[in-house]
Amino acid sequence: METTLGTTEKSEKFFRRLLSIWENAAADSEEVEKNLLLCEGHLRLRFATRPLARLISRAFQHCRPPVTPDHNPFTIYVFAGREKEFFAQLPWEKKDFAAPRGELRSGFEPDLLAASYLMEIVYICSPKRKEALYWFRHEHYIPYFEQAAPCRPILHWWLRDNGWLMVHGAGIGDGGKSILLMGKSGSGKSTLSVAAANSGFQFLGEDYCAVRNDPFPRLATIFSTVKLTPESCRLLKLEPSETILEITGKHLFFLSDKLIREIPDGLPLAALVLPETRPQEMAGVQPLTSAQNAIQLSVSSLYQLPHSGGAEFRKLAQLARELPGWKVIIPTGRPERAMPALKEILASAPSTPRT
Amino acid sequence: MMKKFYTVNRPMVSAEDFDGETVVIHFDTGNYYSLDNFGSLLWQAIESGSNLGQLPEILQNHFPAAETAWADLVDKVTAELLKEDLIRPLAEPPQKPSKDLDLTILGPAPRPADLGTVSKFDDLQEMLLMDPIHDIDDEAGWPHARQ
Repeated sequence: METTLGTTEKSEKFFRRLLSIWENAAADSEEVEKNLLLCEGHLRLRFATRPLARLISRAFQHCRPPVTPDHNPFTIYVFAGREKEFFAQLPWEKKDFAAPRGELRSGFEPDLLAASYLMEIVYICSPKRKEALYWFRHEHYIPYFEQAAPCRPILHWWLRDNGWLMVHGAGIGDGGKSILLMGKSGSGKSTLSVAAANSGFQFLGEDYCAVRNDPFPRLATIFSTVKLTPESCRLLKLEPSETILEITGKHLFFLSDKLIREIPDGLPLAALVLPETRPQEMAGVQPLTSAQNAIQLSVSSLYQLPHSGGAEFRKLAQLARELPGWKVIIPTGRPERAMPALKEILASAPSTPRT
Repeated sequence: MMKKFYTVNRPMVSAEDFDGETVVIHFDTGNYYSLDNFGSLLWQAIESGSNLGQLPEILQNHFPAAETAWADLVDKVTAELLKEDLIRPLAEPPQKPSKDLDLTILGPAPRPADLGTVSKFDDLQEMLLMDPIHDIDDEAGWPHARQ
């Protein structure tokens, strides 16, 4: 890959050229603008077309418009197609699109950050301009993970600049406090978070949440979506959704704002929990060490988020040291049996955040 | 005395200490590691720019085992960290003052034979790719699999 482009001026020109493609796409269609309050910040989504707005904004149904709009909000320009025109402007070769974590290096970092999902989706962000481009190859084939958690890399870069960090985990709350359910995909986070919601807990997120540690640990919702296997749907007595996810066969649910309501400044984060399903009758609880907390909290998050590294690991490690961590054993097929343990973990956590 | 200086392979490698256990992440390979208290001491020494060639003598002065046993342990763990691409050798000493090492991390009576465990985990490598589906048809795009 040529990396001769290196100056701020060149990165500005590069970004503006790509932005002009969005402008042309929007001019040919009907632009839709959405203004959202997300994790204490004003996020503006500008969609070049109405179908894109419909497909992408469903994951943010819980967000209300900001009460006090930012006169210069962080703006994401969303568009699709115009493939030849778009790729003609990009400095990357085909092989670059298969890089680890989807990370695209341009030599412009940190003025400009870029990532891709192969050659299907491209994310380009200019933190200085407070603008990002979010491009899809096909308007009508938005991959399932992108419908469930849209513009993840861009939100990661934006949230990071605002003091929040996106983490791979589910969030539940009760009594004004929250728990982050950690662990790899398939560990039972989704099933446990929905079972908790069915048992009266507040649902705060199924796969990704935002956390921060300043001035005290907090957890906030990012997406109002849930992905469940058919087995989990049956277990939780949920009517399967109409949106069946490709490849995985999971069902994607878009929660209404009656089920999930944005708490822009988040709930105090009281504990970290690692669910583990085992074929046993009773639920159980075991403490985690700080190192185990850190591994579960950090590793799977950082391996998914392009252009993240030591600085993010340091912040997550601080949370891992500060918060109690528990492994909660869930009897196979009986997630409701873990509810008393989750209630107890929340009840035993200090109610007053540190000052 | 041999001069042995190393540095952490930043920015692709990052580490944090948790009460004597160090968790190391390699962002390019997708592997992560847990170092025991001896590995943590060695990591601390590398981070602080210490000469690892002096470490066996320092350890022998504080603890009963022979210098050769400590030297073998230092070499073994260093070789493991090098093999995993977590550190790289330096030809010259780093341009920073080395700090005193916290030897209490090893406990009151450490035995070289019990130390130096580097646990490697590769169960999250697949997450380095943003999604498990890699074989998309170049022309048709998502969601068409390559024939």
